[in-house]
Amino acid sequence: MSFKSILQDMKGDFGSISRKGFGLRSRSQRVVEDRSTVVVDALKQSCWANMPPELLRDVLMRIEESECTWPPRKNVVSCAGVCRNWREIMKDIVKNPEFSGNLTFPISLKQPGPRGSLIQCFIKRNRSTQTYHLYLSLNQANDDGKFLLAAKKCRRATCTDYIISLNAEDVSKGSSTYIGKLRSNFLGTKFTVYDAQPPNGGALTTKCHSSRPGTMKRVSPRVPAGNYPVSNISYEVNVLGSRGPRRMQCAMNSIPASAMDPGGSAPTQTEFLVSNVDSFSSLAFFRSKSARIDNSQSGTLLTGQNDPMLVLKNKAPRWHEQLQCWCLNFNGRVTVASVKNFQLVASMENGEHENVIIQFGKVGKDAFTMDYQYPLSAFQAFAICLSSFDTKIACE
Amino acid sequence: MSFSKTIMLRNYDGETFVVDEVVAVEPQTIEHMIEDGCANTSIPLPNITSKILSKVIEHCKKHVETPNSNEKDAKADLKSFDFDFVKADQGTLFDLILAVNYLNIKGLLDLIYQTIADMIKGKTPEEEEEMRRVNAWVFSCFVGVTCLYFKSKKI
Repeated sequence: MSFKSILQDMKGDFGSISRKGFGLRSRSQRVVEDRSTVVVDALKQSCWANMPPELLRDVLMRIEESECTWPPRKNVVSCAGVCRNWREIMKDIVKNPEFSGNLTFPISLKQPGPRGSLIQCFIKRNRSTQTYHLYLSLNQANDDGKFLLAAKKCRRATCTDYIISLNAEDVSKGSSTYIGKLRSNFLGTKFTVYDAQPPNGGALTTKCHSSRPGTMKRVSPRVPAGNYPVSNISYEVNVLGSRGPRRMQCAMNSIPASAMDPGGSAPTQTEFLVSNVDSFSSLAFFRSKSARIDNSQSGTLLTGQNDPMLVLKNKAPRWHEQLQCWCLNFNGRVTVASVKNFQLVASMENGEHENVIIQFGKVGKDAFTMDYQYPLSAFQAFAICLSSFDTKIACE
Repeated sequence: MSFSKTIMLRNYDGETFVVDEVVAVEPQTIEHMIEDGCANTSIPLPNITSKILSKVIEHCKKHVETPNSNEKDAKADLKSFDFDFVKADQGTLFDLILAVNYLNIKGLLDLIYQTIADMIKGKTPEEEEEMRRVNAWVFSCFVGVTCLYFKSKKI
């Protein structure tokens, strides 16, 4: 007796309904025969799909509260995949990572992390396939983890692209699991993070010039729905030259600086948009824009005229005289010294915050840890870390 | 000689159940009906079948009869009774939860909620093994539910 058998029960109802019209399972167990030939959504007739919402809600809440960590949390995702009713209730019950600290659905990877605590992840690099896999840490030893995202490096003539996907087996721009990319310039000093969908969930498309269907250009179906620049990352040589650690700056076009204020909020996507023909009109618009990688322009584009964007800068390491090296306190999460290690803090008008928003560092030959929190999402954090892999200049 | 007051419950099948008042008031709905003076003849429960109503009465009786003490034996006895009580087929459990919700019996409702939640979580070892083998997080047989899903990846 289990969930699987509930589903079989529902499938059984479907089978019997398709055979003999439809039968209704009511409270009093009367079967109402209806000779209607209208095709009925059989799931609606299944008793479990039609459980009164308040009862179903209590059951689903118990499941959600008891399975907070992975892998048990997959039960929560499974329940949301049963049928429409279950999905609506479960989606309502599950709180965003910002409030719960839990990653649940794939969209959680596009939503800001919790405030005040870091979500701990790790990245495994595969040099031979030029791929990077992001995992949620399940335990301190990082032996096993919940797979989150995959990235694949694609070298081009004048730049390098890192394609980011939800599916480790299908990391390509045309894939339905493509969610964004990181593009570097030729020198590997400037990077732009592109999101496959608008940060505000469709608000940007209203800024596009609407085109009548008749005049819309035909676009190849393999082209993604859109590429919205959400962040610009730049690396600079330290003023001390190659003797000092490089300086890193991330201009988060999609996050206003006000997000760091006590009552502030960062844009939160609520669902993956299915790419459709209408969104191609935004593609034409952004292609011309993305060619000019200009911080201020893309800043006003996404955050509005009066809202300065959030800028993250790397926390300056301290010179340790006795150890004769630059030191950053990673709280044990980074164990191998590397120029690629960094911590980013919010750089505001009144100075730099102490709170580390994201940190990244090496723990093994091809293993790195990544910790992030609000207002970054796992996707943005991963993209920022990928830029650290790619930087060639100022990398001694 | 004392006799306890009894209440008549008439259900959907037309069957009449005579229960002691102290048992009958376990369900809050019935308690309120009695308070409101609706229980002069019999209390109608047209949406509950005999099978379900007799199970509910059995549960109420057991909980009323068991002394409300902190004795280990009494507690263990109740726990074992509850454990066996919810060993029912899915159809019965479903009907039970609707009936118990209507009758408003908090303790029994919590018990059934938890049973269903545990069932969904797949607590039996065989089902755990099956789920691990299948390794899919969306039951793709359901039409109209589109969502992207993780694929768990063993390193």
